[in-house]
Amino acid sequence: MNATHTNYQPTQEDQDQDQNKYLLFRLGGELYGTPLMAVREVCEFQKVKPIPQTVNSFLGVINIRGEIVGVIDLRVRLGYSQTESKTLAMMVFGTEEGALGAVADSLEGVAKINHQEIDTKPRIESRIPIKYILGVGKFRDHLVTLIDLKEVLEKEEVTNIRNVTKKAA
Amino acid sequence: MPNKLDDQFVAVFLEEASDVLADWERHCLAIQKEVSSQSLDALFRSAHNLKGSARSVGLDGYAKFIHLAEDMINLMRDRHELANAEGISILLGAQNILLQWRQILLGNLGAPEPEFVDKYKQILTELKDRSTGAARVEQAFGVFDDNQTSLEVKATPAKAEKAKVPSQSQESIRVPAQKIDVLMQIIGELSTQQATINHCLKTNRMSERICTNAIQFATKLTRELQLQTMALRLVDLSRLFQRLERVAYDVAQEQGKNITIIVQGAEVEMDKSVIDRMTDPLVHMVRNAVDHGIEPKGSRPSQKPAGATITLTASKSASGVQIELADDGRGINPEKVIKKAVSLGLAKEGEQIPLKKIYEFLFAPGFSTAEKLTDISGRGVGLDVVRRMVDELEGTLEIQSELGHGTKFTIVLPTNVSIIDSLVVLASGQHYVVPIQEVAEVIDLRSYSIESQTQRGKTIALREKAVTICPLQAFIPDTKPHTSLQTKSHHKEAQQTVPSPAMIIDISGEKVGFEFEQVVGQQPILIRKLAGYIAGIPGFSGSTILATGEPAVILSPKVFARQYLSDKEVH
Repeated sequence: MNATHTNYQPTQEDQDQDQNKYLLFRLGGELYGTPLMAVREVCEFQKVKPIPQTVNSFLGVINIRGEIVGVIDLRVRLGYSQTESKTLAMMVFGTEEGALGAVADSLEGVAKINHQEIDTKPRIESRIPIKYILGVGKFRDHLVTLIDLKEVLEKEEVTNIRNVTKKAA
Repeated sequence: MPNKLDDQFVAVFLEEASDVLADWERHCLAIQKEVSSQSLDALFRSAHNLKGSARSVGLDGYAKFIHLAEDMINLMRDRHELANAEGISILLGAQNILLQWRQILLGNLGAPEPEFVDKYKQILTELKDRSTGAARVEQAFGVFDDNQTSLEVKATPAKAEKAKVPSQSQESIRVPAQKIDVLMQIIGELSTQQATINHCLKTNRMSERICTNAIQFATKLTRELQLQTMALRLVDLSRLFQRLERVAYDVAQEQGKNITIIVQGAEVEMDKSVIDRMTDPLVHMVRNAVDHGIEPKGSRPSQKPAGATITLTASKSASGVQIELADDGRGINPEKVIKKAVSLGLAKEGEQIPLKKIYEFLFAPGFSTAEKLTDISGRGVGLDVVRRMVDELEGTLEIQSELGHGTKFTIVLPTNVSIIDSLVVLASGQHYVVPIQEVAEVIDLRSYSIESQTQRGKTIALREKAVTICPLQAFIPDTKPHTSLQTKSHHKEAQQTVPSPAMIIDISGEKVGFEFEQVVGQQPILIRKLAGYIAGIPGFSGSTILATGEPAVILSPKVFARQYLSDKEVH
């Protein structure tokens, strides 16, 4: 988050502002959010090239400006149904093992949610380990589950994509 | 004396030092073969220049150490008999220390290792001893006074001179300026053509001759640009061979073996990344050759020349660069290999195994026929590492050996790895890319009759040899149902009108075929590594982007073929 390569020096206030920004996306009917600054980019859904011997939630790879990027279907991962939709979108995160995209039903936009408004100890059922759930916030009277997607991808997904149980031939 | 080191200058010096030290090594190895004033002078010049540059950037300790070595070389220039095996090994030792010292200065190693400091002291003592041995000459030169030497020992290099040079982990290649001039020229021409195309686009004259010509030119220039850019990565093998020669020399010294190393074809060029990746495997093979290949001191048969020979040859071949490593040692004993293979469960007792297969066992992980592990090549890295690297680079590796007469390893590596010619195929309803180098031939199964059919595949007679054809699909299982989110490449329509292709893979003489749906085309591709999270699946060596913009996985049918052949034994 250090913008030293430009002349623009973010003030402490700016940084705090950024900290409060979340990218909102929808899975099924539910609203989720993830810290905006951790998202590398957002792109339209494109057809995915499947890779053999990988888990079901790993759809395959796509070509983003000449870079080959893996894609995970968050809906499969989190137990929602894979419905067809024209609003499908991808959030791309940079992980230590390379860029990784995550598919959501739709992206809702960016919202500022103040720390004070986040319930950090929510009691919710989720397939995501509770340690990656940052809390539940409110956005225009809707509840938003805030998860640290980048951490989830980095710590949980990256090591589990290869399907080791199925042996070739 | 400058106290403050200018980091930037030091960095430049250290970069240069690695070259000079390589020269140093080369001259030493030359002198070791034949003492000549010419090579001694060259060695002296290397040392002298390095000393001068070290001083100029303020590395006085470094310079003083070189000075000691330089004095010794000077003694040798006057009295050639001093340039004996012992003398050379001291100079090579000094070179080694300077290299390690350089490494420390680069900040890569952190604090000096005790071993390093000890060696450093030891060498200095050796140098001093040598000088007292040549007392007369020493007086004449007035070097090696005690003060200087003790001062040198105290100055532990890293503490005294650890410069804060940014670590130079970035790979760099030295490129002749002329190669860059060529690139500049091509790019200049290319932009002219592009301007023409742009102009035609704006004025709506895209279909006119002037424009189509420009597009054709641009295409040609782009191809040229690609070739020239790849040529930038080509480096000759002299550095690698020198290093291997040094390794052979060191091991031979350690074991008291009398070995001559012959190096041929060091001027052959190869992609730098191939050279870098093959360095460790080749070092291992050379160690192996000296350690296990050549008979131990005293047990070499009398009918053979007393001095053993190791030959390292590089040459250009049709499929890339061929590197041969031959020794005239004891050769591989097939019985020993079989015994070991049986004990590891790789073969059955009393089984008839062709010689080629027997040698193949040597590449199995954990395989070592040496009864006792020596310090030199028994470190748990075996030939399997060599095999894996050669496979990764899409090369080939073969062994020829005659018991009692020696062993020859032949490695063929592609000249460059980043762009390869490939075959795009349709299998399992998806496009896959196969490096053409791995495919011996592609046949149309319709023109062959199927001799027999088993669960694992069908057998056809290919030029009077039985070849098993199995579906490629078996090796790229679809672990999940297709969803509408995924691409689907077109299936062939009618069964009869289209060919039924199969690629034939040759694994050291044994042939296996893989049947697939359709040959889509042939195209040069730029290999990209698979992202970490999907890398390492055997047989899926990389990825690329096809002409259509669609990403595709690069398959390695050789890996599948080996998998198939080894499975066959089990069943």
